[in-house]
Amino acid sequence: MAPSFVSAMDDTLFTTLGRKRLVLIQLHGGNDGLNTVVPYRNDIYYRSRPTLAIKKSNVLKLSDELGLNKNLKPLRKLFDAGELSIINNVGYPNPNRSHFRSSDIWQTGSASHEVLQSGWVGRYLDAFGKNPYDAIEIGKSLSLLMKGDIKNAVVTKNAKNLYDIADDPYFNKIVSSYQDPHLSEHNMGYLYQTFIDGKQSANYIYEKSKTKTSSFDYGNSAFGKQLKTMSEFINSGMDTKVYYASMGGFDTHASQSGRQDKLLETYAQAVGVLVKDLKTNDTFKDTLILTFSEFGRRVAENAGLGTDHGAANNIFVIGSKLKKPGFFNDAPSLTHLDFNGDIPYKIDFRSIYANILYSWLDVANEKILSEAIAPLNVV
Amino acid sequence: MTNHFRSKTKKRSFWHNFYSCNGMKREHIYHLYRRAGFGIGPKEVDELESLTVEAVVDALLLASENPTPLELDLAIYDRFFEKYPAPEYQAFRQFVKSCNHLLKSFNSAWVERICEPTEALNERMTLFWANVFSCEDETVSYMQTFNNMLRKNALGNFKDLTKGVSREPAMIRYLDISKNSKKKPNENFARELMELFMLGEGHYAEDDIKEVARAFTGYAYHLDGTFKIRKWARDSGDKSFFGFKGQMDGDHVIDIIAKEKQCARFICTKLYGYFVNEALNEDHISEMVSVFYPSYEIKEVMRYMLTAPWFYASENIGTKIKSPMDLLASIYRIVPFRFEKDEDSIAVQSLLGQVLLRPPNVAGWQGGKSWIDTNTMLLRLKLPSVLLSDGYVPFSEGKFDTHRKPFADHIKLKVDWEQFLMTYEGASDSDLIEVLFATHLVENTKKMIGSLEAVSEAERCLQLMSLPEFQLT
Repeated sequence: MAPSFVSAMDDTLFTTLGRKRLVLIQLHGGNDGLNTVVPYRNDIYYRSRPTLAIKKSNVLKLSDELGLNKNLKPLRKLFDAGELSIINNVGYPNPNRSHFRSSDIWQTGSASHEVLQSGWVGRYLDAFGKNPYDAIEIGKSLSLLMKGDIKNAVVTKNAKNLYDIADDPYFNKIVSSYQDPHLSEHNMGYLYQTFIDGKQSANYIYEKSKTKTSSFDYGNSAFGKQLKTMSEFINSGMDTKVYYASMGGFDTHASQSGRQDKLLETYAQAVGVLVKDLKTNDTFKDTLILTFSEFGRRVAENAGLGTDHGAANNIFVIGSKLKKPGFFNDAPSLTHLDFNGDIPYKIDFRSIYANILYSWLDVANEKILSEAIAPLNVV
Repeated sequence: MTNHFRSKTKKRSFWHNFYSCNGMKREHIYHLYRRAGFGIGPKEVDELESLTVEAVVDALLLASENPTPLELDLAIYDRFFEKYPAPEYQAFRQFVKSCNHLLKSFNSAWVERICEPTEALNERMTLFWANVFSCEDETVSYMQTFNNMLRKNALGNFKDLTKGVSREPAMIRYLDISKNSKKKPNENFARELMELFMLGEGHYAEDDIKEVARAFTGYAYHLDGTFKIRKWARDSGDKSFFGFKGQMDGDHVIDIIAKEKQCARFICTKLYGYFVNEALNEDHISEMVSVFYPSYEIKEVMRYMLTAPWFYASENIGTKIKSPMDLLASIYRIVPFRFEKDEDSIAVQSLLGQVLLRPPNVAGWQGGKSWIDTNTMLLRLKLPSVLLSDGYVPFSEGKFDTHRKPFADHIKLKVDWEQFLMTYEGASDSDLIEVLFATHLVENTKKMIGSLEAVSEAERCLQLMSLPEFQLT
């Protein structure tokens, strides 16, 4: 449970709040949850997907009802070790089936009808952040998730490169000459603030992380490289609370089966190596890894050997201090679908955020989530 | 050789002053051309200075009457179809893959066209529509047809444009239209048509999407890129949609959606956000809607917007963040450059976060602040010196030993400094500032620049281009 001083917390405590960190991974495009965690005993599943359903014999069985896609072997290991919670039927009321809206909803932590301009990690930075590198996105450009109303996270793929770019003497000239009007004007202020944050963070991240090179093999995928960089940041002892990485390609309207299998393989291998790497460096115990996608896909396959946008989905939480490892809740009921033929939500994704903020990052979640939502007991 | 800045005193004649009471301000001409085209040089501004805003906008529109298509030599495709008049699908896909370097050439040709537009306003509109009707395909012939369809209709009628889009093989493939059949509907295109192309979120129901998907059943294409209807896939039953009932096809659906005033508002909002200000002014947008609806003539709403007094209000000048294309074009406008290899142009676009023909998704690039994060901000400040010089911003204390080009150091460009000097030799700081910046420099920044040694106009130009203010348009 959260310590009692949380509500009275002063943000100066932030940097001394312990070393726990959160890793967020998004599978972009809407990962098909039913072919990820397969209800291999469910006739409706097989009837709805005459070509796409995964054969019972190809499933890594975890329970009498559910099993993993065969390419998720590294996750089965975590499952068996009690380091993985699979939460089924996660979504939100009045699901939106647009990638962009639904992704925004997941990233901002908004209700379906509400449009927020900042991400929930961004608002965490607004309320409790000290430095721009308190949250880092490993990638090419910054996602809404990581943008606050006032503060932004840092984005980078490579610490050395960011440092080299920032290291131009002319930039010091600009820094020394900026004044209030620069920061008060809307977009101009944003440009100057981002520039100054970038320069400061480039320095910090480079100086800290240059001591650490991971010797683990993350494979050659872009996602694997992201996680490798992430492990180096984490294992070098950087004081960063939230990391975010993402992987695209899950929008499988057509010819799904080979494609999704390949993507899941890339995902699971990289995550599996990350966990090993963190364990070797004794940082796994302070790390929680949450994987989500903006929605699941329709139960029935379409004419193009693919699946259309759906609603609720399963999510993975990986860590060593899970309250309820294994299957957190029941498998989706395929007999009670919504009017679109999609799986209805049972667990609001924001109740997971609330739990993580309160019990893992030790902060008051009312400041960050727009509605009071009861935390789920995940961690 | 005539030099603009050596001879400019002659320009300030009696007649010039006489007309300038109705003529456009220089600042406004720069603004118009930055937003509605891809910039303008000081000589051209001199020529336009005596004209009224109506006359200048008329001239812009007139110059865009006959858009020049952007065409690569695609004879290799013709030869393929001569040899195999009815190829197997897989054989054609394999052929497409074998010449996918052409897609890079097309990207690069488009970027060059943007830097050196044949029809400035039309080219700007083409880029705008390409981000409304966001689309991607590996078949270069389909992308070229799609791109030129946008170019041809860029200032035409919005309904025709949208109908055209729904028949383009690139879009049919991108949003799975040909996978949409009576037996098994695929809603991908129907959903995006409503959400991203015509109405916006919240202005339709899930059932509407299903009916729209039914109306587009049967849309398909021949491999050579011509549109066709597949009868077996058509759902010829009655559809009911937005109060209409009948045997609709896709064109009917587009006409019905366009009857909703929200459609005009949706597009005018996009136009306003792109051309005027991302901070929307609903009154101004309503004015635009009353011009745009119900005719949907793009040219007329553009004429209205570009001549509106609010278009030239100070809060709308120099307050937009440049897109990567704007940034490249604005550098090119002052110092022309050319990438030696298509790949190099693409590598730079990729660093900046906007590779033409490769949108992030069907919603396109979000623009505005989303272009800027800690990473792209630093890259952008460094870009002019990396592209045009040896990687550092020149000033006397500025020499340093570390790696000079931390990105793009393998990239080869031809930089036309001669062209720069023809126009800017002898230019003062304030001359350069007028051309380079859409926003005013604050005193401290001017002082800082003034304190730097610059041995040439070229060095001064690089110093100025490396200021955060250069990122605004």
